[in-house]
Amino acid sequence: MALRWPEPIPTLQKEVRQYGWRRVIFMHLDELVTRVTAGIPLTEVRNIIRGEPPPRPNPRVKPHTEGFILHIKPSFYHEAVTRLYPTFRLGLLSFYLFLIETITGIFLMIFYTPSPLVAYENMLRILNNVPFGQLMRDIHRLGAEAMVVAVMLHMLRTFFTASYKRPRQFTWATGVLLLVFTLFLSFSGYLLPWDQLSYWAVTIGTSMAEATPPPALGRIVNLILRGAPDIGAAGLLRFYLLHVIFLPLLLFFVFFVHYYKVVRHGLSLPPEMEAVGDDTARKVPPEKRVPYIPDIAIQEALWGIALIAFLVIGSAFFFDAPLEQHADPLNTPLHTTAPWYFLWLQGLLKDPFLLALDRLGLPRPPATIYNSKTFMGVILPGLILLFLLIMPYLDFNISRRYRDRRKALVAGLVGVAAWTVLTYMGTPAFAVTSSADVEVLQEFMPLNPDPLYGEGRVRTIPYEQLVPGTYDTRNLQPPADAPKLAHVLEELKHRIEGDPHLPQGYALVRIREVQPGLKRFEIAIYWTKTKNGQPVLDPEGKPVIEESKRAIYLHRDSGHGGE
Amino acid sequence: MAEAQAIPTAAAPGITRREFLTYVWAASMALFMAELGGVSVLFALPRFKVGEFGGVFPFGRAGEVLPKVGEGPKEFPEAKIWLVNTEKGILAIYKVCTHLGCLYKWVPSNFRFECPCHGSKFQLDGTFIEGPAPRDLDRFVIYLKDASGRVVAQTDPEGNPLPVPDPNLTIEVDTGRKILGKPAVKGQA
Amino acid sequence: MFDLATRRIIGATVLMLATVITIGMVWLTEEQRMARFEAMHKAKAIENGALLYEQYCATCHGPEGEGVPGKGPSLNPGVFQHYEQLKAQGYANSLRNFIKLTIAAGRPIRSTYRSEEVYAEAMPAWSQDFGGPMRPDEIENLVEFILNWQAAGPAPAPTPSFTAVGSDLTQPLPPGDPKRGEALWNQEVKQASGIAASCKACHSLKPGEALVGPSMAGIATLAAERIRAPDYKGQAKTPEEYIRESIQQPNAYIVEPDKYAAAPGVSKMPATLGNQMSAQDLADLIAFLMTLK
Repeated sequence: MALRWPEPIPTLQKEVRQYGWRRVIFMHLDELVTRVTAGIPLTEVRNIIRGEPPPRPNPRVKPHTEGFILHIKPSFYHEAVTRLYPTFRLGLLSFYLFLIETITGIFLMIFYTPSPLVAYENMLRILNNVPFGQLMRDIHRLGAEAMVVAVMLHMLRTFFTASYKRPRQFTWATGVLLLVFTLFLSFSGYLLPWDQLSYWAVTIGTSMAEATPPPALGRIVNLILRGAPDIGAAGLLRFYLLHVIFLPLLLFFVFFVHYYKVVRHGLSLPPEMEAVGDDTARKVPPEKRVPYIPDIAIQEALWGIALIAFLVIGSAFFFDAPLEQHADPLNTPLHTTAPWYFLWLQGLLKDPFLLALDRLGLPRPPATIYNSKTFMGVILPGLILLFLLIMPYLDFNISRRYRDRRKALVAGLVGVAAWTVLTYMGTPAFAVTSSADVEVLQEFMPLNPDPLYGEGRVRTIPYEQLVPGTYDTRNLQPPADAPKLAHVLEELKHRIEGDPHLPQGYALVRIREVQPGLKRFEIAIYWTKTKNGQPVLDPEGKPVIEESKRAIYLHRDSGHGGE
Repeated sequence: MAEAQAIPTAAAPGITRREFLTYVWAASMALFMAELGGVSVLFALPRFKVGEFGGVFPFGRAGEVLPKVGEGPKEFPEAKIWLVNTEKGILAIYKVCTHLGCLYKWVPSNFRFECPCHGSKFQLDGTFIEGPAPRDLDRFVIYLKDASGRVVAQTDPEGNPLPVPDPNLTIEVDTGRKILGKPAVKGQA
Repeated sequence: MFDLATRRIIGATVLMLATVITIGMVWLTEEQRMARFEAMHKAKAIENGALLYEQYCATCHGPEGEGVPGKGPSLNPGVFQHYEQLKAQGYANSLRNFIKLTIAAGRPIRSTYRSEEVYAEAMPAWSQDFGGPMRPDEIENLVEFILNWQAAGPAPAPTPSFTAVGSDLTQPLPPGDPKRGEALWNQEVKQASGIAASCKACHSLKPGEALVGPSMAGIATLAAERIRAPDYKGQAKTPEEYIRESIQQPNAYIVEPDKYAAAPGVSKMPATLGNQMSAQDLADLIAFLMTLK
């Protein structure tokens, strides 16, 4: 039968004549709202805003049952999981951070080209000649750090509340994958500014990939990751592709599996609320139901706004993503360090096993049996990852109660402690020092910003206080109107005189104006050469004096003098 | 749908505190979205440095850089302009033909611009002679600046030739400000 | 007072407004901030360029860009004056590009635009694109440093008035102070012209170490032998006179011409060194060299 319009055919004119403007506007607005919300009429929307109880039948579940955006979200939550404990909303925060990173990342992509010839200049342009460029970059960087923190805390929380146990083992496994993707997203993005920090941190990281056994496989992995034996144009482009398309797509798809599983099994209840062995998350008694619209929706909106406020206000006033010197493939800066979430790996690579053997005076195993780089860099982390993935399937303790899981909880705390210790061991302060004079120069005037010393003591001196002249730490007579200079010279004096590796040490500081607005600051350290505690004498019987000097240039406008 | 109903009202009349606060919240989010829109536009709008096409090109002293009146034009490829000096004044004419975008050439034997793509022809001052082009050649705003950098004169909004009162003034061409040529009038030789 | 949902709505509104206000504050200060950053990065470029200059360029062009006779022309103000001359002859490129090209690609032969100067070598190519050690950003930094000399205005190098010894071998010299001679050699004091003596740029004091010119180790003994050698063409009768002649008139006698001649009969040792020093400077230098037995 042919479709026929109802008689009489309604037109806007006829409707207005029949019902009046106000009702016609209401009717059409109502229709629009009902369609957009997939089934909630306008008056009901107003009732939701006013906090009125829902009518029967309840149209407020329609966005979940019939709409697209909310179709994966449950239409109600058990009230026990709506407070801060037990979830701390960490999973939600991780997802929000992924969205924010994607959006800020796309903005930054407008001005970035992944070529070593222009990447660094692009970063300078974003900071110098793009309105809101620095804010966008800082949000992206702060958000990335926050996402790694959120994902790690989320994993810890899930472990401690035993939410990974049956039937949620697969959800946990997908979560571990998401953790790995997050870490590598952060790591691949680290390289893109192409400054000294990025270049060397990533060189260290990818060198571990080269250690994959057997050596033939390691070489192939290294070449595929870097596109060349060392990191250059090919490596930057590959890391860029990983960062902007490959890893985000992987994360996107695995995330949807993960979240589908979360909703399918239901958010697990706090352990003390359930009988041991029960999983009643899906069967929520009606009196314990909290509807998504409006209550949880408001809560999630609040969390999102709080996160945005944290990122924006934090980046605007407190946090500045660093940009160091241009990457120099020929020159590794002292105290090169991995990003903080990989410091535990760097600590592993300093090989606590060998260090312990050395401390105990035991002999080291031969390199053919125990390859430190391969074991600590590839095999051990690989085993840890494998263990994390299958851990829920190996857990036969059906109880989620804390008092029934003491061993597991202790094991978890030990794991966290071990991670922390390894992270400390990964920092430059641990077991990596050069000669005393180099350390002093590094503390006072590093050529690259140093993770331990920042820009160094010398750059804290305001430009006008850099009075030209020669200053001897054995007889300091700094000019009267340069207190900061005097302070730093005193620090230098104490640092050298207090260093047991610089016997009879002193320094000559020479400041000279080279161009108007540009001064040269040189520190020359002198000390007596000793062997076994005795000064070494030259053929004429005089003690041999060692010298070590370095100079940097300080321009009036280059931003030093304020810390 | 078109039902004969009174407009339904809420359970109790008037706005509740929660409802009001929700509207305030919605307004603040709308403000945030508007701000975000502004930030996005400002972020994505490219800015041109001096010497980049789209930005300002300084050319130095008028006396040194301009061709003489009666001579042909001088080209400046990086700014994509011809500098033209006529009795009425100077012009910075855009090298792109107003027909379909080819770069036309200067033909000294005919003392006019001729475009090789579809044959549009223009006088020294950019006026249309013949061809498929719809308008005179486009031109850019010229600033004449004195020694202290103050703008002494600039091209008028119609793009007419700019007289140069003093050959010591410096010329700057702003390739970010284009003035379209007047519609073509056939029959000018 | 307020129920949970209302509290959340209020909190969300406050946070949203705080974010809006923060973005507004950033909006207002963006132009200023960007200008400050640009100035800061330019300053950092000059600092980096200064380090590169000290490492690679100062030996031939002098620590102040004043040039080293026989090795490299003056940059400050030499390169800026030279550029003006080039522009007058129709050179169309910018000063920045001229300096950048010269550093990046070097020169095929020794520069001859300063007719009174003979340079030991041609300017090398420094860019990694052309076989040198510097990255493109390093060359940019170096160019910023060099341009900063011009930005500072004309070089404040007032030439103090003095009487140069030039190439006049007959002018009597005052008694020489070897300690001051050593200070001149180490560039701790400057010559009468205000420019540091450039001897050590070409001559080492280590035995056997020949830089552009032969080592000065044991020169006092060597000078005595040289004047007695059959092929000696100069006019010196004593070792002091030999050393004096080598400085003021190096073309009088060229030791090992295949190593140390720039052209037949023309020594790599510049003939104009005497123009920079007073009689006292020369006497002090000779006195110092005579202590190297």
